[in-house]
Amino acid sequence: MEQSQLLSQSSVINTHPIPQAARFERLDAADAVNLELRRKLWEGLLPVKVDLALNEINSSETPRSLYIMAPRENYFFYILNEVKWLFDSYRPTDKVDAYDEMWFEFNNTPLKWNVPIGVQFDALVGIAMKQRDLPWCLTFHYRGFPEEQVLKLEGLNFFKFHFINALKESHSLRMGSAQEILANMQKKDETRMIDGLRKHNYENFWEINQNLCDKHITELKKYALRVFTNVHHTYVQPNIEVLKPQDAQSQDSEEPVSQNPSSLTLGDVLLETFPRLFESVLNDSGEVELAKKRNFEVIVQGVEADMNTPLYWLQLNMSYLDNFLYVCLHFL
Amino acid sequence: MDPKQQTDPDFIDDNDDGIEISLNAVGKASKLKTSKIKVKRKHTFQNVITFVRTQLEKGQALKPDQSLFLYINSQFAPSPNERINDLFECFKTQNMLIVNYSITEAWG
Repeated sequence: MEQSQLLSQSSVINTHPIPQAARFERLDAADAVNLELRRKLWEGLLPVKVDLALNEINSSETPRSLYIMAPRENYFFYILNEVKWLFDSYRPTDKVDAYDEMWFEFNNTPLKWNVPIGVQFDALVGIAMKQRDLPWCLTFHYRGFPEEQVLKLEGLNFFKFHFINALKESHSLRMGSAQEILANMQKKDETRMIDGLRKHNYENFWEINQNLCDKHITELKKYALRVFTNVHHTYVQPNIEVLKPQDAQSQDSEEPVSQNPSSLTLGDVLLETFPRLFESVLNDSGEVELAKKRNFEVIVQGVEADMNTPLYWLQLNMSYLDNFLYVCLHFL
Repeated sequence: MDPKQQTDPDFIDDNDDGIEISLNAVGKASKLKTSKIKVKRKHTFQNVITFVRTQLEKGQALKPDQSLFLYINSQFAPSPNERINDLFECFKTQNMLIVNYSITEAWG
């Protein structure tokens, strides 16, 4: 059954050893990338059930529900064709292609077209209560797009526009500029990536994205991180530099301040970005550890994240397809 | 416009501080009267998109059904629901956020 498949996938990811931070300095990006994990994440699926909004049914017959497996790393755009294929006949024919008015909804929360499916599921449903909400029951609307909250899907071309720009934004953050994409990415590469997304084809997508994603830590300027939650309508994108600026004192001293950028952990960054949600405490063994000040889960790619994970390793191995690392905070 | 969202103050600091945005026309887009505006950190990029749109439409330089593209540092178009605070902290130059706008897809 799909549900046990999901759980065992999570435990496979969990048992994969996380490399020690110290080893990164001698490694190529290629060595730090776990290709098996990358493939596993690509294959992660969520069972979804979609119903047409009751007030939009234009016939006396109630449409059946659509049951579909949705790739966690892809976008709602990916299931749109199947949804329309089932529900178009229940709508007046002149209203079925107004793409800029369509939207999905979960429990009265409008879902986003430009945030991966898995990210929204992890933020809105979480892990602990997951079984209660599988299959993920969504409502599809042909009209009434809640403009204020969700990015508009203005025709199928705009999906491509928004994805490529998200790719450029994460590149700009990590490399300091999107020049590599703007100058070097050819039309045929872009087409291949988009085709890989539309058909969920691993090779087509990753053969192009590999060069953009797999960078050695010495090449990175900043991390591309987004934090998505069930308590705010949009994500937070903090500014995280790979190297902390040298302070005035060390510039004068003869010994350079040595930095080990690969030792920056997820916990370090969350503590600094959300001081009202996290704090450092001294545990019984006299060690400093990170504690949550409220009741929430920290989820990355469907699993509870270990706060000691090096951020560089996460960026390389657990990012989504736009090369942003999405961390979800699900408040209970 | 930004809706009155209920915000969790432990997650987001929603004060009224503002930052400066420089608006620059690209290609055939018309120049705006005000090329520098102050925008609250807590607002989303949609605010800036709406402002530029409204100004251009008022000045007859843009039709309501015409596309308008806004970019940061001539590099990428952010999604409308990104926070001004985040865009500023991540991409600011000389304490300003540089936004370029165009009526055709400029850096596609």
